[in-house]
Amino acid sequence: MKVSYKWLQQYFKESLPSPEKLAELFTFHSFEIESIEQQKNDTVIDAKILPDRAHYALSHHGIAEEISLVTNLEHIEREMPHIEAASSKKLTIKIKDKDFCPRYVGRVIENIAVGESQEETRELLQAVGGRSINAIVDATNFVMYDMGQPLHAFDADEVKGGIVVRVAEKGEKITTLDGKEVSLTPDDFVIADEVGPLAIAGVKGGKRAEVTKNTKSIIIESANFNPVSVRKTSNRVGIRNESSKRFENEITPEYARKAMDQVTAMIVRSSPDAKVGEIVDEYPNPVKLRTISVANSLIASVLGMDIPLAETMSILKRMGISVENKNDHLLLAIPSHRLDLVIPEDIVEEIGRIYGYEKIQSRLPVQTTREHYINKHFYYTEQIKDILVELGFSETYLYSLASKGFYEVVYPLASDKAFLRTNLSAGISKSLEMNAQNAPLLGIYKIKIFEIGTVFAEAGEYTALGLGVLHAAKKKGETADADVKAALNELEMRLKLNLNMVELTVRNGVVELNLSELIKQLPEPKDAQVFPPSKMVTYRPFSMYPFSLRDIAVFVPENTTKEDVAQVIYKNAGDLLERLDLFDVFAKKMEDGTSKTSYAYHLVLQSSEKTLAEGDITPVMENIYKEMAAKGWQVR
Amino acid sequence: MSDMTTEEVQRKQAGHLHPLTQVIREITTIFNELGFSIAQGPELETEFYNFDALNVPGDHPARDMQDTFWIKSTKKNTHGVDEKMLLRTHTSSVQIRHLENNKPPFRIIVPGKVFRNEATDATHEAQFYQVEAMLVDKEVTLAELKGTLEFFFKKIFGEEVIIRFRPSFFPFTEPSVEVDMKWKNKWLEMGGAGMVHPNVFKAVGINPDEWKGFAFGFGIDRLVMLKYGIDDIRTLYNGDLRLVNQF
Repeated sequence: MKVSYKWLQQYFKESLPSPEKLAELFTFHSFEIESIEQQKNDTVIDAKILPDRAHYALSHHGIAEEISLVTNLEHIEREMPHIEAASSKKLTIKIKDKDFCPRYVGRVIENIAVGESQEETRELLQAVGGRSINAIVDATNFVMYDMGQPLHAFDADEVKGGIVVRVAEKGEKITTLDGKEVSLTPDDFVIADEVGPLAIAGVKGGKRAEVTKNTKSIIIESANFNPVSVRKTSNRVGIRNESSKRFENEITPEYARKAMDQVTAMIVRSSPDAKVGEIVDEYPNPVKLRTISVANSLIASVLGMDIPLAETMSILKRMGISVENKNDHLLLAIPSHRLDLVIPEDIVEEIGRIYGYEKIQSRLPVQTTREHYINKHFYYTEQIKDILVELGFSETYLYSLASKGFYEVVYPLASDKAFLRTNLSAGISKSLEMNAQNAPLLGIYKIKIFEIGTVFAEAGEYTALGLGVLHAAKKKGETADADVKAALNELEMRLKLNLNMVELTVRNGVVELNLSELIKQLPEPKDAQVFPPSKMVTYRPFSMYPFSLRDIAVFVPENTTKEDVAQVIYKNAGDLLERLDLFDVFAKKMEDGTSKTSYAYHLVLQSSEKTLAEGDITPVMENIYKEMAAKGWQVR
Repeated sequence: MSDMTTEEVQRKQAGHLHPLTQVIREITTIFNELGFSIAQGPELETEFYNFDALNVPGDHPARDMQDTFWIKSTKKNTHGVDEKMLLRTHTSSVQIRHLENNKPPFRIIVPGKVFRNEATDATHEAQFYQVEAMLVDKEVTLAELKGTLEFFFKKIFGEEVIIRFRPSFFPFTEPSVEVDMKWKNKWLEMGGAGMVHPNVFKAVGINPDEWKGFAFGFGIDRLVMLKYGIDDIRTLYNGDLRLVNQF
């Protein structure tokens, strides 16, 4: 939520600390600050108000209260001039559902001037992301941003009869202020007159009683609505705004009266001829004073800090909480707008955050019982991973969402990710193909991968083990399926477990089995595994551009090593050489009796900046050939 | 002297463990030192275990804090009532299951895959791994929470790291904090933590006046990406050996 620094300053006699300093104090004592934006004459602080503080902090007044807490500066309350009622126009308000609407404060104001707001009002509204519409609407919005109470103004001459707060009837519709026609259901509440709905309660006003430049009299609504109901309606009709946001986070009915006084004062200032009507305040069940009893010992037993009682009392005083100190506990009177303060722990959090979490002295938890057990599932999945890695398999983590399955996602992110996967094999096959393309880059001739992960069968989820092999280069006498079977045999032997190989289908180098079932048959582990720390690796991001392959084969004298040959290649290829693999070596007796060695290399060339063209590669190869020839080596 | 070809080298070479596995193992080993046991639970969860039991009621803005993958199926619970299903948004659901079935005191660490229904980019994936920890005992405070976190992060990132708390909100903890770590001269957000909310204890029949607990959770992917300088989270999940084989 955006707040204006200039607006906040209105609440303080002394100069506030700089916006940056305030932001820092908020960050460590109140809430996260998303941004500080310097504007022409003002600074806007964007505070991340989470649901617990949304009851009171979605307003400049609420933020001013926070400033008092974190700076010890006292904030002042706005002066509400007393306004004599001069209008005799009657206003009746009928609340049909007290659970939905705990309070409705209404008032008629006649002879209003629907002109432009004062410049300062317009500037402040715009600073926090609002729009200036006219003096009346601006006043209602100003009070909402200032106090946290959403208000609404109706054109009084368009309201026939009195105001009724009721459920919508089946088939009822309303055209909202922005011209949208909305169908209503009996789950939605409306503000209505004898003709029909005037507004979607707490969410959006209707066009019928819109305040226009021709409006002469208005009815101001300052009401309180049930948060769950407003949220449901807001979601259903697809209208979310500053009003619905505040209602769905629940605010105290005590705001309604204060807000009416404040907006009246603003409107009277901008409409000098205004005749103000009596306030009609329907408040059948006024909220009672809430108290919380906090045991003195609770504070230290939660925070782990011994906070001097004087500090605690000072913080509570700044929060506007009156305290009765009753020996071993504190009896607190909670201000009505602090709906987040319900249980003693809520109070402890307030004391802790204001006192400062930086004061916590850390310590390790004392060992009471060592009720330590070994997780069998984890133990064996990790053991199997180690066996497979030893057998040359690399581990993959793949996607759980797939294009088909038994469990479907309500709002999928993509059409091929709308179901929970029923197997690992599909993902493993894809991964094999993708890695095979990169085999030269990886310097491997067989892709061997595995995944241990959850799959979702109709009857429920279980952990599966999937193995996959793909030969990037065909080898006589070897097949992928055979490699897989060999790995399964090895697993069987090491785990001393019958994998029921006859039931397993190895197809296209992929096999899958139910690991949850298998682990059930294994014995309970005795000793916990101790794993080494994760490897110290300097990770190199890989290029997104395609690689090119070139081969070089060269005859060298007997005493020339492969390192000598490699050196020449490294030197000339430089950064473009991604990988150099020796793929063939043999010795040959030449006709002249000398012995030569043949080294044959695969070169994988790749740039991290672009796709390499012939023009990039040919000169490199030429340089290599030239240098080799100069050394008397025979390039084949 | 034998010159082995690449093929011959590969025949004898071991494969590679995914960096997520390596880091998860490292994490469980560190917490094992402090007496934490590993707990695991289902990825396909019910609304009750993922939200309601954690003090996150339906039709409440707190639900907006996590984008959820709801599933078009329901499951009958023990009272024969249909429960909505979802892919778990955090591993906190496992903590509830553990609280239901085990008497305190205990210390558990819960590594697991979690799911968020949000658009993917270099730092956001729809699936990622979390580790959550919970310690329940007679005397537990934010001081022990901080000490445990310091112990852990120092082991992973080095002795120089500093931990700090910032006020936050989670429905299942009170007080709630954000945990930051200072490493290589930068402050980094690592995860959330707090004291287990009394409502969470009450929901599983544990007396909050007798028992206290702390809980914290952080993303493992983020840890892995920070530790190794991996800049795109999506490369952790597309089965690309160009990443895995570097480890």
